[in-house]
Amino acid sequence: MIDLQKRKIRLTKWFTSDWSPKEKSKIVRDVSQTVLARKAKMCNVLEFKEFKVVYRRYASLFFVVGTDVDENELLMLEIIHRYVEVLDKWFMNVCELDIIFNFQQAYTIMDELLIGGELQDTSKRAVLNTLKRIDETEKQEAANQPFI
Amino acid sequence: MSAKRAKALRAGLDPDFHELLVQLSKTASATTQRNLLAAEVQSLRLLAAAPPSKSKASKSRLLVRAMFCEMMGFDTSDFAYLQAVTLCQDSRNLFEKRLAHLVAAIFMQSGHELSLMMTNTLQRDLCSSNVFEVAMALGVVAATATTDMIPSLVRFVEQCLKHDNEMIRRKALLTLHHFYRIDPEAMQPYIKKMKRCLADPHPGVMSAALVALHTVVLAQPSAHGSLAPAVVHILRQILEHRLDVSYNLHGVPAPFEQVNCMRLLALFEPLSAVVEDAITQTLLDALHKVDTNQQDNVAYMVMLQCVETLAVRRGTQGALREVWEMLLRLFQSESGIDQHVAIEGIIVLAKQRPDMVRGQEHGLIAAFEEHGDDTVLRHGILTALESMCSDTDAAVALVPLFVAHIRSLVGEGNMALQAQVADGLLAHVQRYPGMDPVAKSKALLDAFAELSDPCRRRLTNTIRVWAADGMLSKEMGVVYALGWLADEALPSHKIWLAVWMCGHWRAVQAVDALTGVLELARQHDATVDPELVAHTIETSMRLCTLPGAAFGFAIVAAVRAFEGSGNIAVANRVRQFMEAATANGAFTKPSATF
Repeated sequence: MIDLQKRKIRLTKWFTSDWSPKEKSKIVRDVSQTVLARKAKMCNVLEFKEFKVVYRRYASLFFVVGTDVDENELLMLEIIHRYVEVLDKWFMNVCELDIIFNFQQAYTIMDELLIGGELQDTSKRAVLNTLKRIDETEKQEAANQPFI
Repeated sequence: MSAKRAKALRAGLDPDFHELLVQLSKTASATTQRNLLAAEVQSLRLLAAAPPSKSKASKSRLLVRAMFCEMMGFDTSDFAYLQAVTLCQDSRNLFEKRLAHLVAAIFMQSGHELSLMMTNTLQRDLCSSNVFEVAMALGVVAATATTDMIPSLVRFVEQCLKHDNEMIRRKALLTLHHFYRIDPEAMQPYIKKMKRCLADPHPGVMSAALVALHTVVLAQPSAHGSLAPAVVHILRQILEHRLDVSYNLHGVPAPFEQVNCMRLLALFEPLSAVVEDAITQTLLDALHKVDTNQQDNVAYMVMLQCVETLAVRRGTQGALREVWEMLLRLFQSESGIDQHVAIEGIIVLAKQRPDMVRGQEHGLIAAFEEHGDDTVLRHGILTALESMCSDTDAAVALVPLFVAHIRSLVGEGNMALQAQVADGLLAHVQRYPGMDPVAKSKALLDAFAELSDPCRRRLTNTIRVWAADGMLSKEMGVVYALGWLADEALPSHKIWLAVWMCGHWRAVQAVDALTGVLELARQHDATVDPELVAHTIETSMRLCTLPGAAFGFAIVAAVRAFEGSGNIAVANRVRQFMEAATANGAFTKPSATF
């Protein structure tokens, strides 16, 4: 997830462990530069080394997914959109600051949507219900937490 | 307490972490950002070594900050990973357990050695009566499992397949799928159980089974043909709107499930006529239900997958003609993604059913010329045209498009794609032995000239082999080489090859150009590769010793300028050059005149 105006990475998640941390940083840097250089009317799919990169822009944020070349890229676009929809419902009109200051919640939502790199539940309602149940259970267990 | 800290506490945030995020947001410099994060990691390291408080809450705060630093690319393994493992084991409530599992899943993604230490905790959590603990444990297992951990965890995950809660069954199935991806041999006994999930009463579990079985069938398509009727039945039910409406998206019934069914159907080996007819008919029905006029990605997603599956399953001519017309309509659209979808569909059809797409090349070539700035679309069009190429004339017509595409990629700075296109051009010209050698050579040399310097090496060996075999003619080669020597700036691999070509073909007329190269190299002393200098001096020496040639003053002076070089190869070549020049009378004293 890349911030367009400040060119900062807001969130990264890797579902494969084939690369070292240094290689991962390089990949993130190269992909960010490539995606940020693209114009608005250009295709949202591009090839990067032996992978396919699919990205989608929402206001000042780019959501970028790297996947195998034989994956359906429109499926990836819709998975991104599904994630953004869930974020929007959870944070009630999500903005960039929600993701900056609550990145661990963004991770939790991603973990409920994707497992092992695969979409685990396609129903937005089911994902949100699960998150709400977890949240309510936590609130019942512990009254005050210093943060999060 | 400062106002800022009070504000952060009221918002429920750790004040120190809040301060870090604010500073990172304010800074525009990447260096400052890196320094801030490095300082944060160091302060966390000190905190972990000497914590002010031994409470779980302070440990949780430390882990969140460490997780942020790890996400931003800084290594916190020396102090944070063990803390995460111990918090997983000792957490008091659901909040701490959730945090610990989240952090562990992010930290131990690389199959870190500490993930083995979590095995007992994960086994305990997988047997928990709390649904959320089981769910979190399954998430961590899917993120961190290695082949070593599978034997100790697989039985517990398998038990979760029988859980009352559909969320647990779904996660367990996808965790087994993850196990299968990392160790297919060990998971063979569990394939039957994964197949049974296809008949699960909850659609979420059924959907997950489609994903899991895709990987299984991909590995052995011939062994799982019996699944095809079940998958067709599921697709038929989806098209009849039998799934809950919460699975629908933009009016399309369960599009993700449809796509997964179609992806699975594309994998099976040829089946009986009855089953194949059922597949074709169901796919056509799915295609008819897709409304491409709404120009929605969801519709196109289903359509693209439909095209791919129909093409692979050798659908009927009528069905494929309908698909082809739909693709052509999409290709006329102004939207980049619509054109991309059309191109992807055309590529699939061209590979599987080339007879359908013959005669459509001109439209694609016109589109290639029109979209000069969209290299991704151009790349797709070029791939489609290559798939459609069936004879030598068409192959020759494609060559300028390869070179034009390389030129636009160089402008974009996309090295990876340049290399891919260079390899593609090489394979393309070699695929047609009947292609005119002059056309082949020109293609390769033009592409070599256009490529960025690091990518040029991919074509060097082939050019040298063709030059040695005589496929690349001397006349063409020398003209290109002299042109490159005149135009190119240092440092450049193009110069290296040009020098080699001049030496290979004994182009005595290139000595002046080689003199210019050495003079340029002298000016760019710090950046020039010594190997290039040595290579140029050696080639110059060989050319000057040819019959009819001589060691001119200019070339001798240019080589002499490298006499003090610290590089051994250059010094050796200079010495050899001077010896050869002396032997050829280059330093004969003039007669004294008064």
